[in-house]
Amino acid sequence: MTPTIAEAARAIAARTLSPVELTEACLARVEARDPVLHAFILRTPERALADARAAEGRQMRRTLRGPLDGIPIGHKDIYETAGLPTTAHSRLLADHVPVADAQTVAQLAGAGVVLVGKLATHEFAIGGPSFDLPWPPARNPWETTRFTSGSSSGTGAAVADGMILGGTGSDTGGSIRGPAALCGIAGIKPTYGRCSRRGIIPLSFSLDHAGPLAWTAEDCALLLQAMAGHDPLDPASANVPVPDFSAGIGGSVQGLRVGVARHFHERDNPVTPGCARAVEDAARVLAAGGAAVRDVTLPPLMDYQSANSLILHAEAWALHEPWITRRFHEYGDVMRSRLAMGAVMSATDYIQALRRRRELVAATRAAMADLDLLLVAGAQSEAPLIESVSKWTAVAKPGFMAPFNLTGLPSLSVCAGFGEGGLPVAVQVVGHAWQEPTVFRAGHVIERELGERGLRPAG
Amino acid sequence: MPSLNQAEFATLLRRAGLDLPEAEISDLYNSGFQSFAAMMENVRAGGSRPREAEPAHIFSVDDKA
Repeated sequence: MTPTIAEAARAIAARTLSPVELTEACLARVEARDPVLHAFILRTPERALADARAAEGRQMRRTLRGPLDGIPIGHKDIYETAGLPTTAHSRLLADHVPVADAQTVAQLAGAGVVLVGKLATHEFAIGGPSFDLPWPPARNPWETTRFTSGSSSGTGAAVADGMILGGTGSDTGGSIRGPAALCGIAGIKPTYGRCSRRGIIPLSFSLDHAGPLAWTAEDCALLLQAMAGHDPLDPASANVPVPDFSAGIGGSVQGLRVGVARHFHERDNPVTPGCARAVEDAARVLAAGGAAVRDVTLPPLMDYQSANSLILHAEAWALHEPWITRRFHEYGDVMRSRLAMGAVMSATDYIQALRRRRELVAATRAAMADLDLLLVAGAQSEAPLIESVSKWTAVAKPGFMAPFNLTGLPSLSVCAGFGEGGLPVAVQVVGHAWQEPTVFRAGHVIERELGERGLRPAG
Repeated sequence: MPSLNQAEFATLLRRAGLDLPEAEISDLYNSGFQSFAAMMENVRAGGSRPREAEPAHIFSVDDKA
């Protein structure tokens, strides 16, 4: 079974695991499984083996750069990679080869990661699942007729299947946490401003977040450690200290004050029994660990969804306007239909959404004033059949993740067991701004008790 | 806020540079746009917002750009 990043890092440091052998095992898994899962847009085996040999040299010289040295990962194909195509899963960028790495790609490379390839996404991180693009959509490794969610769909599939140990994603309305939830892994959308967005093909300037996905919360903490930090060339990047994200892993939740946003999944957007049980189980685990757990009332989910979706589509339209007005039918059907909604919005619609955003940020902050964390449903259902997902599914009902894009708060999705059909279910753990270590601490406890991390997809 | 009818919706698409076939406009209007119209109404908060309520910005006077 593919090790976790933490396990592999310990073994590499102890010189009981060769980065080259680990990489070869991942490449073999990609070779065997990707023809079914379509997680990769581009495989880079030569680059991976070169990276792995370099890491192994450092291992032999005892000059390892840290826990990510020699760890095979992949990048969502909106992260620009110098000399390697970065397509955004779109025919518009099929020939786009950046000259520089995204800032987070450079930071991860500096930490010694092994690049296995570029990963499928929804077109420009919004248009999917689509069947009219040059590359097929990724499939869920737990059951290949099922949706991965998106837009970091390839990362979700590849990590869950063990083709890579971790990877990058982006999240504008749930695009890290959605695939994490449906693929049964962990993914964190950190605080807005925590990770540089420079060199990541944008979707919505004020809502885009970069972050990692991995098998466990602990592994996400390790990846985020390398991705975080101030970038003076990203206007939204925050110049704040970067804490030790792993500091709380394995720690107690004793005394933490947790609010369960039960009305989100009971009234605002009712979920399946398996997804509801995940929230109840997670609340029970936290309470058993000594946390003070109570219900909390936030504004209605639809209020968050409305502001988030209007801002997203207006900003996405502004961004794509020069291309879509000339090359409309080169976009996939899902993408162009979604973008068209931004075309009919007025400036007033956008500004009212921004005013609503400020009100919702204040209301959320007030509701959390005497809480350390929120516990929120991870998804509306277990992974649906991919063929059943319509291009309007993402806007037809209010999602559980948009509130934390809109407010910029850190939100971690962790696996909380398995529901209908043996498919994964998840919860979100949400913290105050810059409090990712507390989020990881609680997420790790939930995952350890409920997440069955010894169970991987068959195949 | 008055809602758009399909002809007005089509006009806005054309003004934005999207000259689409009528069938495609009809599909966009009758499927996706209905959700967006509800969201446009939602963010107006029933007209109860105080006039001094500011939008959320990411601009600051210390902006480095």
